Amino acid sequence: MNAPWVLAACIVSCAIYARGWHALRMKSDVSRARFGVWRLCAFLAGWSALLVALASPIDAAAERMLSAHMVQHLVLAMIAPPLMWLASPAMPMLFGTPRAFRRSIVGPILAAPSVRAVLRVVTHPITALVLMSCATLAWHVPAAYIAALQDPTMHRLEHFTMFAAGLLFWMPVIEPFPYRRRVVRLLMVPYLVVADLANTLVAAYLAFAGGVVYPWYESISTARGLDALQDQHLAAGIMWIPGSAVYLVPAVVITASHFLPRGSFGVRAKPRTISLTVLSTKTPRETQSDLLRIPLLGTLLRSSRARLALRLLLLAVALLIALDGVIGPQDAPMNLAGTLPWTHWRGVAVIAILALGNVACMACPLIAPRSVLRRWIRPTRAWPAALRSKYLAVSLIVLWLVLYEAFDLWASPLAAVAVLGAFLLTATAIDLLFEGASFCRYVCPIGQYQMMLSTVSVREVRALDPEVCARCETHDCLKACGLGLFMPKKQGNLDCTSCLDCVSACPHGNIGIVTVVPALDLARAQWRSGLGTLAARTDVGVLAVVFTAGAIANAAGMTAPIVAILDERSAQLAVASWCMQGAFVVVALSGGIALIALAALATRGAQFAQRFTRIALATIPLGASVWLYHFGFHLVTGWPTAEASSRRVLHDLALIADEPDRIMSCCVAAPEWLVPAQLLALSCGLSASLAVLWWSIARISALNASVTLRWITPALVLIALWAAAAWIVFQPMEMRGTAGFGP
Amino acid sequence: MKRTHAIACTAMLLAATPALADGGVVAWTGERLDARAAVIVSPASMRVGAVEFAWIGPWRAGAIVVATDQHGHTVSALLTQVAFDTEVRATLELPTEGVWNIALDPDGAEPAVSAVFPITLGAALPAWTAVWPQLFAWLPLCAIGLFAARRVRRAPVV
Repeated sequence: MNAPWVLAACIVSCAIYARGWHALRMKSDVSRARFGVWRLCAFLAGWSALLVALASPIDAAAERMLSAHMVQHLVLAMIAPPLMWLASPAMPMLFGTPRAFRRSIVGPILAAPSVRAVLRVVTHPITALVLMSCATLAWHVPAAYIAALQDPTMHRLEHFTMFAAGLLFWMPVIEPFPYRRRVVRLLMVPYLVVADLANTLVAAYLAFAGGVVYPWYESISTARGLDALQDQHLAAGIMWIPGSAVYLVPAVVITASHFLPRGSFGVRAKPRTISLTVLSTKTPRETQSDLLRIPLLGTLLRSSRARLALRLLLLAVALLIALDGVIGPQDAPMNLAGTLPWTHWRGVAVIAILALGNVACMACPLIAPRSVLRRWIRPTRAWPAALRSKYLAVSLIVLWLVLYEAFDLWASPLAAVAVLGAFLLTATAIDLLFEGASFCRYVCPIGQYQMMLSTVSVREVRALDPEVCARCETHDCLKACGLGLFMPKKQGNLDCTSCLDCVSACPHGNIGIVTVVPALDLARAQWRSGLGTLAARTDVGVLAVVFTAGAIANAAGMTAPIVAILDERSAQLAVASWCMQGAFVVVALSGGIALIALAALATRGAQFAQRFTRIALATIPLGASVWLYHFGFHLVTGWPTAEASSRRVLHDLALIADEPDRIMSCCVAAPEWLVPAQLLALSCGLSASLAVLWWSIARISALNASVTLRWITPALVLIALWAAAAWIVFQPMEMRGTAGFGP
Repeated sequence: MKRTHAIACTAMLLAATPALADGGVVAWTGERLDARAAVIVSPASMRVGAVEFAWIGPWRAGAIVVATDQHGHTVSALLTQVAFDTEVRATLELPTEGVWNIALDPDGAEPAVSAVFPITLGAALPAWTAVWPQLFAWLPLCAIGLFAARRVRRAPVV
């Protein structure tokens, strides 16, 4: 159960460290010397030790054998922490996170006097020694030890406290950069010896106890034919000999380094604290993490021909899917049109957008015909002024959600083809009639959904160096952008399809796809090119609410209790079931808008419309997390449909002999990690929403006003939406109509 | 005008047809009692707990579904008619995860060949108490975020 989470934490942590380590080595020769390759190796070794302790067979064996459990504790408290500190992780981990994150989260927290006071106390060697000794002694008291074995939460707490105490204990011994020494170095010798005494005390107690100290192991060992007392003696030996060695070897080294001539153990860099200047240093253009600077990928993305080729390729795939939807069997799980667009594309697209920016719009096959046909047909009409808002797109999204829910569009390959065809024809017609990217900007409901999603992405297309833009006189980016975005004044991903035409047009190569703090732009909501002042755009606010309420309604529509209630109501009222399902979506969306309006009424500050829009924008991260867990669920449980439907096509084309098994080709059992992962995504979404909300309210409040008091009411509305979304996760998912089998 | 209405209604009904087979996946198809039949199992991604078996095809009174796990433990229920003449359903409470062998006999006491197929159940949906760290992870995240935000508002980082 723990293994996937430990592995995920390991991957994320190592990626951040490696990124920061690389950035620091690029800064100067001093940094390069200070952060040598061996530090990276130490960090990886520390994580490897943690993986061995928590995600290897040792973890399972720890429940059956005391000796295995002792090895686990040894690694957690005495092996992994010093390895981690040898890597001097503070600076690389700071530099590994986006600059805006360092400035808006880490910097202010580390600068807070209260945090500094707490850190001063906690990291003092005396505190660390007391905590380490307490952790060693307290968790080996039989009652506490057995409680940890029987209760997974207590077990996790035991491991956490041991690892945390180990980190605090080893910090003054290793003195990782930029640790500032608190006591005379030679005092580390009695420090280590006292800790070893606590360790020896437990080991001696286990070794010389007359019987088995922990009855848990006695009952298990009897059943498995092992000797619990021998196992206990082995555990005592492990704790005593290797455990003491871990404490005493550094004590010897410190003593020797004190009495031997200076320089025998190398010259240490003078430690210093992490200054706020370091935290807020402006990142030079060269050190920004820009996707376009990645070899090959960057070259391909910069090339307008390569981007067009990608869209044409996806258009060809879409046409093949459509062909199968028309001439193939109408069993959705066995037809490419019933599987790839609904199960795979949606899931992959939402993950890709969150990780890489609006790549789904960038690769959109619907704009491929426009890109080709505009070589001969040059539209001159401007999009009607009356339709230059998001309301048309909002109406289409509502219509889409209603049709999707009422008529189970995903269950009918023909319906999928009809939708694809309608989109392709409409997009081509509008783009050949009206100049710019009018379809993407004002009409496309999928595009608006993807743009909303991309506001919480970690990447954004933007100008790398504002000073270069300030000197530019040609403004080629503005001329090239179909959505009328002027790069120096562009903010966030909203209204940007990431088509990268601006990248091709910029003569200075000053545009990149760089990392940003997700959703930060939503809190600012200030003036930007293309949209004007975001907080003043009520249409964008309504779009945001439809995005979030639609996510919850769309996910709720596939849960068993909601399906049962809708069926019951439709039977009671003698209304067709599709009418009831469509009405459910309309009611849910209207309810969402009403709820946000009520929250805006309960808040003070700017005008009502601006308050509504700001609160609505704050719901986007929560909505994005619901879309992520919903489509992620389909992707994880429905992935075999790609193989089944592809094999069916190959069989129909006589390329393979065996017809795929039609039975159970839809779904696999949900893995155990899925629900916790869904809930974690939801928690991240809610935290981001609450943070955006707080900043939005701070922006419209006077400097001396209490923002938190004003924040509470709309925050409760967001928490209510979260509760509804969390409830959905705990329901069995019906995936109505997936069978594609009429009576 | 009437003709337009008729065409519109027909189109709506055709579009609504897939929705009538609400829930689940086809777990078995074949011929029984001289007609084509199918079994639809719901929910699509099955877990420990209630699993619904719908038989679509000819059937007789006493139709029964029997589920047997790898250890020989069986659970059974009689199928009852629902919305359509040709559809009967039963819901079984399957208590353990793993592979279950399902035998669905559509004609009860009469000698007929059952529809036999396996299904694989995932673990039961966890109780919220088992996943509380992930469920309430937003509380510490929010506290940290608010603390940082208040600090920035009072004394912006240069």
